[in-house]
Amino acid sequence: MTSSHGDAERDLEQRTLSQIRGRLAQLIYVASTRDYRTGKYQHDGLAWRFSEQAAETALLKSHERLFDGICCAGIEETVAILEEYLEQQEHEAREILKTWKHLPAYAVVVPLQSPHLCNEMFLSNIRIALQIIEEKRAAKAGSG
Amino acid sequence: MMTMFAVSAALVLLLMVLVIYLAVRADGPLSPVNDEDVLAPPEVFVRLFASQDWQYVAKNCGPRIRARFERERSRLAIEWLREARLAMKLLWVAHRKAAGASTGLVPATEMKLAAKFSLFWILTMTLSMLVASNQVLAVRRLWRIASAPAHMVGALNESLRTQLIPQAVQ
Repeated sequence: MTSSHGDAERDLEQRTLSQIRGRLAQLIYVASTRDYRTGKYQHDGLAWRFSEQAAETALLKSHERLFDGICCAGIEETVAILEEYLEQQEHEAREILKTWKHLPAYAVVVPLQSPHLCNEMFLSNIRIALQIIEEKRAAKAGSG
Repeated sequence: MMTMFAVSAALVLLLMVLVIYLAVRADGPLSPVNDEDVLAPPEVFVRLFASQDWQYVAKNCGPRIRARFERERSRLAIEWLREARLAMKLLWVAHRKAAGASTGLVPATEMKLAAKFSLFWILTMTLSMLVASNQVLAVRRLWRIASAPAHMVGALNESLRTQLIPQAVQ
């Protein structure tokens, strides 16, 4: 079973995550495979190629790995991660900035088993990074 | 000279007993000792005061963001310190119970553990008070001392878990 979920994790990495640019976009994708009612991960393609159990474990491990890589990143790095994500959203970037300021939808990407303070650190960094990007954009618009 | 030494030792011992008494009473209710998920890794605490972040915010952000950053980091630091104290308290209480049932108690080891626990508790309480009274700058200046809880938490955790609890179980 260990090699099975290891293979499933590699498969997820190679076929899917490598096609998604940016760590935050990858994290949002993996988190979106989780059923918010039950906390269980579902991915039909992975489950078909391996097994439901292997797919679920692979998604959980990937989710935790991606989250760990971002939650304790520095502020400068968090700003860069967020900017990279917003760049890919093109016209929606402004809407996302506006929406996330009032509705912290990014909070749902937190893994279930992650320590409470790691989650708090992630949310705090994103909140500050959002403000920094907003301030940067306002300054750019003012000078332009 | 001997009297001075004896008085000092008695005072230190008294302080330790007082600290342990206060520590066990403070910080809220107890939950099971094997709750591994209670504490975020010490790296989180270190990250909260990382100079790169503070320098980046000071250099690139306006006063509104700087104030928010300082507020949020202070809140998280106080929370980590509180959780660290609670986690160590749970272990200390479990350790004490196991010590009561153990026949192979080594007083010197127990004294050392009590001293480490007291020092950890005094340090985390002092840091919490400093951060809560907006003395984050002082904490960052004294980082060599202030970062000690992050280093101590792992060692203390291991000592409390391994030095007595397994013997009592055997």
